[in-house]
Amino acid sequence: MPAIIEETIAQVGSVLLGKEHQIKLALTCLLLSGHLLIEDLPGMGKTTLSHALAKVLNLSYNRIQFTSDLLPADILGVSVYEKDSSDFKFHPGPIFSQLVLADEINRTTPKSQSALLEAMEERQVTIEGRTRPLPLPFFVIATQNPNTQAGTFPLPESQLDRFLMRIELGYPDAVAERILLKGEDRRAVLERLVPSVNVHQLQELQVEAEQVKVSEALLDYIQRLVLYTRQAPEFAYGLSPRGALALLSCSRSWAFIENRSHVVPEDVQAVLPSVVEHRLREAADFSGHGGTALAQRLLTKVDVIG
Amino acid sequence: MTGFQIPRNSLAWMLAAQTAVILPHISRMPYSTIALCFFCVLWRVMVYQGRWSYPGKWVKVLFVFFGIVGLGIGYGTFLGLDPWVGLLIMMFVLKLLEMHHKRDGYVVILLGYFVALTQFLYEQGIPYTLYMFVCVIMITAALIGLNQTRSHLRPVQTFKKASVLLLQSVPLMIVLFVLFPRISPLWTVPLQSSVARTGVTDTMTPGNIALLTQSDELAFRATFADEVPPLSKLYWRGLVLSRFDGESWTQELPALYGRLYRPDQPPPSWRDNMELLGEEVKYSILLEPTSQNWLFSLTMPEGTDKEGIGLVRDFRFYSFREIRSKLRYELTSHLNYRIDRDLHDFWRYRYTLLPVEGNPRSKRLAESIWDRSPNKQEYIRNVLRRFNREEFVYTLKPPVLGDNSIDEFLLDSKRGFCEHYAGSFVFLMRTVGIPARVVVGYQGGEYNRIGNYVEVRQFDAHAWTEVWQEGQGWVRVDPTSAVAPERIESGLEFAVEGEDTFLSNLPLSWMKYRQTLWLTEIRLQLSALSHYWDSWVVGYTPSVQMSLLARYFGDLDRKWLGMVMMSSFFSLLGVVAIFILGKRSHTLLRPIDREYLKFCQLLAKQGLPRSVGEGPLHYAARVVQTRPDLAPAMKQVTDTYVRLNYAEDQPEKTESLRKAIRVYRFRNLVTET
Repeated sequence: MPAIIEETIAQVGSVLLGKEHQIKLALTCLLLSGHLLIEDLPGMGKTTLSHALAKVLNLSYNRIQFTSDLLPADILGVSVYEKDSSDFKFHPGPIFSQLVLADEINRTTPKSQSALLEAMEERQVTIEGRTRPLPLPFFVIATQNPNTQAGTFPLPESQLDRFLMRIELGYPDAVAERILLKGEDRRAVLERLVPSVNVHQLQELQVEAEQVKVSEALLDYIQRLVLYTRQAPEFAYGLSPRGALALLSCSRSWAFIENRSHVVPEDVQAVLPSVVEHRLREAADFSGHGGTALAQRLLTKVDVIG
Repeated sequence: MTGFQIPRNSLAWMLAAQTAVILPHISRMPYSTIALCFFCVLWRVMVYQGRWSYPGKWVKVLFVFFGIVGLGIGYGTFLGLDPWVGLLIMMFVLKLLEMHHKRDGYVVILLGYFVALTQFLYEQGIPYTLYMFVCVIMITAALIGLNQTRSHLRPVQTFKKASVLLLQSVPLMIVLFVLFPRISPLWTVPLQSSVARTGVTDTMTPGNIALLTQSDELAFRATFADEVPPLSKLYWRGLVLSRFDGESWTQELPALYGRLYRPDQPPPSWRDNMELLGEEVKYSILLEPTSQNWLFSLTMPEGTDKEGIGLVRDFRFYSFREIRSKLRYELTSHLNYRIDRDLHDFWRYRYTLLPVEGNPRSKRLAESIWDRSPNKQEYIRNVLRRFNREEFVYTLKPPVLGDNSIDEFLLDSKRGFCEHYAGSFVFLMRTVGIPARVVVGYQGGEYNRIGNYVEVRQFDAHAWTEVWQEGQGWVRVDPTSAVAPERIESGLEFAVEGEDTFLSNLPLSWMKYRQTLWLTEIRLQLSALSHYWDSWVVGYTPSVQMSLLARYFGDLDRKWLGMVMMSSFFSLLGVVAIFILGKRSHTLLRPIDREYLKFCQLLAKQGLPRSVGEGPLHYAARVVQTRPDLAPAMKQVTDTYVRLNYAEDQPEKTESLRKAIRVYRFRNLVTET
């Protein structure tokens, strides 16, 4: 893999132990300027991951803690009257930052959720009649507690679709956990991280990632996958063309991280669960779970060659 | 017990179809079975709603036990068709209570098709066929529903789909119906032999034909090749009754008649006594089942070509097998004839035989008329004149007669039906030594101009006589025509018009409204439709099929036809199979993929098959893990494949991949040896 990326992964990995795959997925997502949703229990390292990424990628970083009484103005910013200039001055909200961590997004009301999600989609904010662009690059890493926990407002499917990927961190394995327990405070490690890329390099990487070759055979495989979601009875509905595009670009980006000049089926399979799980719903399950099982079906039932 | 739930649509249609399929049988089923069926359906609905759970093993055993006991008590026997159909239906419904898996659902559905079929053992008319078609659509809807996900919640959509499916298959149904070789059944079930059927019997007692005329059931339909003779000439001869025991008339002892005239045997000597004159009338008769052996024909028939039928000495047809299903036979008759011109003395004796005792007044009456008559012809005419002139009444409600029935009828009551007139006429003839006999059958019928056939119903039953005369042989004399000529010309209904007795027990019979024109029109249309159905669908027997096919395809062998059907069916299947398989494996595969899959098969033979969702890199890694010795070859093949297929996008260039595979094979060979 490209040296810069290798270094990035190593640095983030030194904070978030034993989660190389998830770190790579997060990078894949960021290389595409896509927004990332991390869904897991509290205390699994969601915040640490995003903080480390911001630090290593040298991005301005803001964290918004979502609560049930959060208002859109708390995210976007507000105009305040200033005595000195006898004028209203706009105080930009935490959204005006290159990497925004929207923590526990599903704890807030839909109104505030949609303020964030609109900003994500438009990459600009319109307040009091003035449109203000958001800084570039602009990433949102949102974290979400599992929907079954108390005090959550589940995101509707249409808004889940705005996230390019959804990942789960999961418990660390025994070795990583032992290091974690024995080692120093993660916060201190975080402080020591040095940026490995600048914004310019990051943009170059993004351009390079788009150069990865996709063959007809691979497109066939992606189409077979998409077709399966649309035809098999266990799927409540199939993947949208946007979902198919997301799958393709993520595969490309993953192949780039893997330092390949072309995409192979394994790349598609590596990103597939993160890309499709939150976009699919099992026909027999109206609660919206079951995406994981469906992604596994796709991986085992759809022939790679054919 | 698994968590499988039959989808709502499927269960709804399953229950609906089940009810519809069982409904026509319900009149034949014992109450206990009906109650059991109802209870099972209720239980299944409760299971679906989650209120009750499936019954345990012992409950089911109990159900089966009491179900069978109920059937036994209800039918009184386990012989015959009905109890077994009842058992099938009971099991069909009980199966509902153990639908744990999808497979059980299929069993119920297949049983449904089967139970639908059993209805045709009883009824084969158009209404039932249409009804069964609807049932089959419902069962098919259940079958479709079973394969739908739970998100399909609208049963009507499923029904529509099933209807479209079945309508699409109608052309195939017709082709198979017409062309598929009809094989005679390998075994037969005794069909309703116990069911009493109305029809002409072989005994004639005063009153029993009058009883027959209370029925409007169809006896047979006769289709004429040319013009239909006038109704008054249509005497459908059925039986000849020549033995009189003082009360009833019965057939001559069969042994006295000698050999029958059959198509497969040389004609017996008595056949020479038949002289057929005048124009021939060609017609075919489609006889309803009678559970008897005799057949009906217009006087006077030639022989027949049909196997299993013979002409009896008294010139009527006899079937060697009881007629339990519709029977079609073709005949040629001559309305003018001369039969038995010379009557042997023995037969003269038999045909003038009367009981010594009884009916003395009638005998005296006969003698007094005989004394007045110069010759035999004049005597016959005088007797008929007496019927005509005196106050004889033709009625469907004759009084009950005592021991000397002929005396009482001729001299006291003078009210009677055709059998009274025929019986007493023959009695009067025989008293003075003229050979005479009673003939029973049907007279007239109703002409249906839409289908160009004559429809004969039970109330057309009739009895008349034949009198032997020197030089002329047997001459038909119908004493009824002397009393009520309108019976012969227009039918029974007009002969008893004032009496209001015609079908008095059937207030809603179509036949009572013959004067209402539009009703008659509808009735004739329906009747014609049903006739076509009977002759071309129900009556489409192996022989009819062969003659029909012979007309269009020339003479063909049934075996040959079967072979052609089978081979074309299988070749059609083969084409479909090739289409499906080819699509999967060869037509759409890229050359490079084909080569790579061949390579995978080589490895599969070594116990390392590639799973469906496994990409080439993962596969190679897995193979190398188990077989480190294959690592270089695996790497070579996989790299080449990935390069050509995914990096260079050149699926046509298989050369280097083939080379890599050859290298692998060679190395493998070396390692093995």
